[in-house]
Amino acid sequence: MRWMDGEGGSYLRAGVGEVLGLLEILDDESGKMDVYRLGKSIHHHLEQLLDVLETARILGFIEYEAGDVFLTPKGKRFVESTQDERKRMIADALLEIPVFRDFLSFLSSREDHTVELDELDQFIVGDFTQEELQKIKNAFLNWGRFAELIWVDSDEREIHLEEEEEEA
Amino acid sequence: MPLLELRGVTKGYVEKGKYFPVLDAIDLVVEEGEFVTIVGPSGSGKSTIIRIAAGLIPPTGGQVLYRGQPLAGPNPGAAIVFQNFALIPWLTVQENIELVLEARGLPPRQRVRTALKYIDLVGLDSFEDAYPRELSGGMKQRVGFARALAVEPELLLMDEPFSSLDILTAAGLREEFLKLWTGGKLSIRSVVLVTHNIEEAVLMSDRVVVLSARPSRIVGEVSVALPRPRDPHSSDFELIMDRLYALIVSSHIGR
Amino acid sequence: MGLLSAALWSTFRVFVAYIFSLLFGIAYGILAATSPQRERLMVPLLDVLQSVPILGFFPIAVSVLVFLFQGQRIGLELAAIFLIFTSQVWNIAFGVYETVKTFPQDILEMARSFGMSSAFVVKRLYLPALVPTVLYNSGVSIAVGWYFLMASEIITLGNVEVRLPGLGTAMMRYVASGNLPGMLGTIGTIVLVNFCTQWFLFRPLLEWSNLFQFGAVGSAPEEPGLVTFLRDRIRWNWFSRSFDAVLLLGERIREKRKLLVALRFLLLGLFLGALAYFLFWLLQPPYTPRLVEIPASLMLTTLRVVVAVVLSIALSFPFAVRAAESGGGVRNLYTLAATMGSVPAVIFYPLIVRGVGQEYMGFAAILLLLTGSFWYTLFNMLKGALMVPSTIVEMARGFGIRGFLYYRTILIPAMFPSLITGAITAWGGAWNASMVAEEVNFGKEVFSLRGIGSLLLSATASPRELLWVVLAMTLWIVAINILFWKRWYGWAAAKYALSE
Repeated sequence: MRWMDGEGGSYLRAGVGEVLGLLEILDDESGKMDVYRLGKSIHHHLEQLLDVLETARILGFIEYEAGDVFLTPKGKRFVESTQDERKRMIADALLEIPVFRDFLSFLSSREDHTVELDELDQFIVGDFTQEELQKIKNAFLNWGRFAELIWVDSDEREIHLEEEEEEA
Repeated sequence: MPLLELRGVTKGYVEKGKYFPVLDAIDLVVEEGEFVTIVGPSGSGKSTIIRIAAGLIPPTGGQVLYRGQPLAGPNPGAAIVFQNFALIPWLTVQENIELVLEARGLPPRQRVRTALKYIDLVGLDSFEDAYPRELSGGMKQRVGFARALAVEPELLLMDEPFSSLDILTAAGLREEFLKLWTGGKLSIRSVVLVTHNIEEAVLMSDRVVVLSARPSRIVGEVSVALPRPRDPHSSDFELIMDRLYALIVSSHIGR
Repeated sequence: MGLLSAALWSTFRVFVAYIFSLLFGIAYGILAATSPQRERLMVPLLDVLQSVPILGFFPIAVSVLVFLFQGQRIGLELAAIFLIFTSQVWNIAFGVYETVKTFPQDILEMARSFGMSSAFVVKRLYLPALVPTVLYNSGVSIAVGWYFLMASEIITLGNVEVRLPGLGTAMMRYVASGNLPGMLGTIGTIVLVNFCTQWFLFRPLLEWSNLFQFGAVGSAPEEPGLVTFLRDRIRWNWFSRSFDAVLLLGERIREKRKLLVALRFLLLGLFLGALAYFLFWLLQPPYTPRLVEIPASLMLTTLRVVVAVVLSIALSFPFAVRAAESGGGVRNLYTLAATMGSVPAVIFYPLIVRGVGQEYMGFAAILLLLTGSFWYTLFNMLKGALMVPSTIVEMARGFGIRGFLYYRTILIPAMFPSLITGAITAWGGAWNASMVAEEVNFGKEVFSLRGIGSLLLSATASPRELLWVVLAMTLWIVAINILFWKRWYGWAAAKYALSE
């Protein structure tokens, strides 16, 4: 049994800002960069590098092959887009990810389009420590809010569906 | 006979009634005279390997051999340099070092002599009476090194010793430690360094072992057969860096 | 002179009780923090002991000790010291527990990796690390001890009243005879003794204690002369060796596991048996009028306590605001507050009650509760105000956030966790003061106010009624702590944590 081969791989771990930064660097390097030089540019901070690469790959913005990182056409388009277009692209990309899809359909199936923050836990399946779980949840909310698919009421500890986006 | 040997070591812990594997069948041999570095992302259990080698925590499964003998309890042949220095704030530099010598049962006179010797060695003379709070991060870690060296271990375990320091200070301290290590003035036979900084690994060690994400396995290793001091801008160095990065990233991305 | 010997007796009692508090508090805190098994039992117990009005238990303790010592003076002295001890010890124990519990993990790991034994760790790492919290709590403890001293020197046993020599007794005598110079002299002596203790003993020690703080920065504080003197004169080796002996004894006992398990079961059996018998005795009829009176009295006292706590917070607020804005000078304010807080307001109380008369005694009672609670809110809110980062204060100033907006959006939220801590301790202090606020004997005149405190005093003649009242009150307070304060504190600490 390989837990790593399961859904563990399809969670976003880095935030919006970090992915944007990665794409900007790649774009400056005309779309292709040696992963070693990329590592050097962020002071060999291994964990950050791995998280941001995996996140950008899941969203379809980069590809990795034999020591090189490539900007995909979609990634290129993302870098050149306006803020509103970016939000729409992320929303589309998120809806491709099973976890997001499942969560959003669960959210809209609720009468008031609201779930408790802690209910998110049950969508994140895998062998995670509390720390990892928190990171994944933070990234999840971060991307969902950026794409204006959900909004979070921290005082009530609730996640709501962003209604206008739904109707548009 | 290798100095340290981990045979099929697994380690996990229980959190909220659930078992979390951290290490998955680690096989690692550290020969006498070797400087081995373990790299991996944080949470990959690098520090757990250090703690198991030091005998601070027992493995869940597998065997830990020190000089061919199974390890039970704290490893008397090993000393650790900690990431966050772990100095006692109310003790002076000298008292911090004397404290561990006292715990090891040295008589008072010998404590003073040994402490002063290693304070000198790491370049902290005239700072014996300073409190840790009065020292910069780099100087604090010098005390950390002096304390570990003062118990005259055979195996030095370093748990991200440079990651709390700024880039320049870290570079300086690395350089100085390498001088001591290659100068052969120390009691140390072997070093195990844990870091997430790949450049640091290639700069310092004879062999770099790469861990996967949790539960960690060893996904490969790269030996660094370059003479010290090493030049990070040389093509040989960059070649090794490139290979290491490729090894690490391809084992993590798009599995 | 009478006043001098009275002062010496009182000081003696406070300090003897304090030394016991110190030893007991440190031992209790370390024991509770170092084993999850002990922790499960000792921390809830500490919570209860810390929050119930100790004065309410006093009659029970006195009866037991007087019985044990056949009514000799030593029994009464012990009862008095015991009362002061119970007022001083819990905050020390709790501070010790918290400090050991939050002891840096990496230091412990370092200790283990260099082969330090657990005795070595306790002696060389835990004990020094306790210096700041023990000193901080000691200042408060000594002040609180003086407050309770007054109540401890005059002991009522049924219809008999016994007076121990001391400032509390002296004050009562002067009050009864209307001797104004005597009263002023007594109060002056108390203030002087406390001022000297705080200023010359705790102030320099507190400054020095910063050395023992993990993560403290800046140059190391100077060693006070007292510490140098003690270090050079006292044979610490002797202490160290007797400490080792105690630990060794503990180890030996723990090795005899079988014996220990048997003993535990025996004790548990005895305890359960005694409890069953006790409950039977307590719960069987008749339910006298006094027992029926309990709920209403509890409500009345609770009401007064709540008013006192709210007023305490309101009165402490201006001081906290000043402290947040000026930053420095708070150490002086601490010393001043500790000195003022030790002035046992209880001694003026009979005079005030007599002045306002039975009709307005309720207001006088709230005033007294205020003196028992105000210092706690002040101490805690000062501490909270100091922790408001100066960048936040500067930010507010930079953007011209002033007045009500500033208090509402910045200062109060930033201080909220410590405000709640202050309110919780003030709540305890006001309950304690309630035990003496509701009945006053002034010569032959008796003033009385309906409430749980006066009910308790009237019940001292009947052990069963006394226990009923004390237990009902304890359960009530503990229930409110669990249902109300604990939750509120958890919420406040999470929401207003000063980190992003």
